[in-house]
Amino acid sequence: MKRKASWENEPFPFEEYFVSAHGKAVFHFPISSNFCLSLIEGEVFLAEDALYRLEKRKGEVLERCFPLEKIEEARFYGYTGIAVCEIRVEGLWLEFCRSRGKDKKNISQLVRIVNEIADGSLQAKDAVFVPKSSTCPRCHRPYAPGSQVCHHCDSKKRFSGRLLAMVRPQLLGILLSMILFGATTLFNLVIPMIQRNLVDGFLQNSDIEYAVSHISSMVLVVLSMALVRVLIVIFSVCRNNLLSRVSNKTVVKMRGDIYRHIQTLSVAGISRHTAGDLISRVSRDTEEISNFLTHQLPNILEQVLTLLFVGTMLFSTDWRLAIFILLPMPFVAILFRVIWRRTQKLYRRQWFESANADTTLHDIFQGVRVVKVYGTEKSEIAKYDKVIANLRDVSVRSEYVWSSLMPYANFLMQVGNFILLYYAGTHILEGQMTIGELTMFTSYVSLIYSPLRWMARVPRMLQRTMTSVSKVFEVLDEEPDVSDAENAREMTIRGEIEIDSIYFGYDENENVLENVSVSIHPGEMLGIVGRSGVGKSTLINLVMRLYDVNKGAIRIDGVDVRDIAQHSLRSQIGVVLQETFLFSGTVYENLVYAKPDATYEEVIRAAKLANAHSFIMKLPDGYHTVVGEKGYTLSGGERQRVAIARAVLHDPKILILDEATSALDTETEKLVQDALAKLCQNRTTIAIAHRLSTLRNATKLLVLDKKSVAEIGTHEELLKQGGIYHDLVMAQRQMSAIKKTKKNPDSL
Amino acid sequence: MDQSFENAVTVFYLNPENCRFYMTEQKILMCSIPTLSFDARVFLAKAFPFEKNEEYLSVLNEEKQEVGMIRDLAVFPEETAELVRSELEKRYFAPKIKKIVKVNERFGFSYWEVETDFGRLSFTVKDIQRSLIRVSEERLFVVDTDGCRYEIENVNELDRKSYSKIQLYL
Repeated sequence: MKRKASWENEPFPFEEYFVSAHGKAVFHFPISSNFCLSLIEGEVFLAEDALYRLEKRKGEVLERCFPLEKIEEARFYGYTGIAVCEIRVEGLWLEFCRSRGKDKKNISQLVRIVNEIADGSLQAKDAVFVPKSSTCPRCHRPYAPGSQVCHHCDSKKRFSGRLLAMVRPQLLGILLSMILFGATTLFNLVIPMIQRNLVDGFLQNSDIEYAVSHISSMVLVVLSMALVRVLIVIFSVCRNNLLSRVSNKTVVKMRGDIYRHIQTLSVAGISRHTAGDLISRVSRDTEEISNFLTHQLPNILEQVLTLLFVGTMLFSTDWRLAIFILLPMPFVAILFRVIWRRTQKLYRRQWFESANADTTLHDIFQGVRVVKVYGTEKSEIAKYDKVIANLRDVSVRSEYVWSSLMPYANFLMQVGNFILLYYAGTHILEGQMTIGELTMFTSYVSLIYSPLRWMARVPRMLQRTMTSVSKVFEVLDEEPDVSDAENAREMTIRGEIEIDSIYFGYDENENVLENVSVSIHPGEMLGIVGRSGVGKSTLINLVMRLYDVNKGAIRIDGVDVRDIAQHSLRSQIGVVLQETFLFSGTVYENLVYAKPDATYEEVIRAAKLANAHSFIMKLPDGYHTVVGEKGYTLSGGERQRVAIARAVLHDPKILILDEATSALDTETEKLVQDALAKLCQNRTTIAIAHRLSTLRNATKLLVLDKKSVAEIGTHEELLKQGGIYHDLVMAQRQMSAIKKTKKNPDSL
Repeated sequence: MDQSFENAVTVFYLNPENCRFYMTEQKILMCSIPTLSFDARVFLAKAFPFEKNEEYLSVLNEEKQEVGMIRDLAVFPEETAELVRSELEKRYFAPKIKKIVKVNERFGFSYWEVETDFGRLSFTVKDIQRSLIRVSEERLFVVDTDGCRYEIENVNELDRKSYSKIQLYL
């Protein structure tokens, strides 16, 4: 049999191979390409003068080399589960390398570097490549998306340390409650001992005279028992009060910390999560952690104390009996473990199915109009029936497992009692043991199984808590993409905007805007025109600095937006979007959102200016009418006018209108347009509109096409140019002519 | 009916008579369609990637605009079909899971080790319930944290041990 080369089953030392053949590389990274149903391991190397791809195929190393001077351009393609880098050499495109999706960040970095080398802005020797592995270098397990924290290697110790730091203000309270827990446990364990004294000393004493003469001692014993009970009650009350205070404070603090951190994240950062996901982290996961810290942790102490104390008591009283009693313990522990493992799986399944049923319901209710319109009630009912039938089946199974295994476990636990009864019975008859000791032993036996039963749940409980902890830290570890510079300035804006050769893409592999430049003087209005998805809204998001440009700069009054404090910048920009979101609350509260100290006169003036006052006065409670999800439903036009009034109150230096009137009918549009016209006066305005008539007041129009500026000029200039804008205007005129004809067929 | 509307809704189906696929020396897939005076690089996209691997393939130009559609690759000569398949291989990478070696859950992530038609692979799945795309009762896709897909052609054909590892999520 042919012996395989030793490296055929191990990672091939590509780096060694490369260094011996070509010298040191500037950087390199591994790839694995799919060819004909097999994955081929390889590595990409950038040397000072050439780009190499090395691959191990059929026991040989294949090498492809492209001198950098011949590479004219590089392109990245991200496909389903695969990333490709293509290069153009002497006018012809070819695939340089491809790899599994996990390497896409490295490949896109390579493309950027090669392009910078090709356009002369970078020397290959100066290229900086940061291996962006999505896997942990220690355990090779992938990181969570957007995170560089390995849940496997990031030890529990580190998590625990951070967690303790997070709850430090409540640490004293937690410790105190643990002490109280310990004390009540110990008191509970003392009671059987007192009982033994009572039984043996008085109740079982055959010497009646002795008992009568020592009646006061018996009263003392009974009183001590009552005292212990009272102490247990007092300690429990204190403990419970303390716990509820500590746990509430802990939850509030954690929620506050996470919420504050989320607010510092950029729009891109927040968009990486769904709203539901973030809500769950802020509310459910913090609750879970707090519950663990304030309830489960002291509980652990209670159970461990019980186990230790009872164990010691049993062994010190009669070690042989203790061994007999503890004999079934391992079996009980194993059985409980089995029951838990089985039921846990089923309970989780039950949880999944229940969540599934909720999602199905949510979907149906959300889309109830569609269901009604298409008359698909029956199929929706069938769908839901199927989902709840699954839930029913799993619930029945888990209940079955629980109810058929638990009696065995309980019986096993009783076995200790049988042994005890036999052993103690014979010893009592032989006079070697007292009834009091038997009573005490019986109490302890029942106590010792409780920690066992409980401990079977500990691993799952710990795992659940650690999951919540890691989810919370995952959010807290996220660095804001857009943050204030160290010397960020607070400044009063005049309104001059200069967009200087900017490049931007939401995904670093694909630019949405390329080399866009335009300047707007204070008080001017810039209209942005272009087809859907061309980057109009992106451009205004960049002006507001919701994202940072990749290349180039946006300056306001000559200062780069990255050097202006975000709060200062955004507090002077007003925005009216296509869809206005009104918070649950009164119309008044929604209006003063941007200026909480506005007077009633200012509010009414703003509403009048926005043509909103008249409709607000028709609402049942005027400005105090509750709107939003739980309140009065305003129409699209009404909401827009509230938004405009809000912007008027805000009195911004720069106004941004993103399709502010596109969702309105012609009549309402006219009202909103008039309001907007008043608002735009003497204010730098950037407006996006599909209906070009909306932009008739614009000082300048910018036509975006294919990621960059296609045309720029006034309405008349662009019409004369006969380009994209001209065609758009003509098409819209045609459309409105058709509409008019349809309305008045006689006009034909 | 308006001619422009007719053009907008009519799909131009490609067949061996109206087009020719070929590969450049640089292994770039090209397509020539004489009736459209088109002869340039093309990209492929499956219209129904979960159900039809070689049917309803959209043929796109460099601007990612559709120039035509392959209704069924089987009507093309084997040589051409191979060219198209090799291009699809570049575009879609979804190994088929044959055996599930390990699925460990930790902190809301599950770490999978599987045997596939591309050999043994490991990947991580976040929120497993949401990362399973159920195409039918038997067939499903697992999507990992990098967005890569792994196909289980028939869950019922998995061996007992493999099945038990994912039974909870099915």
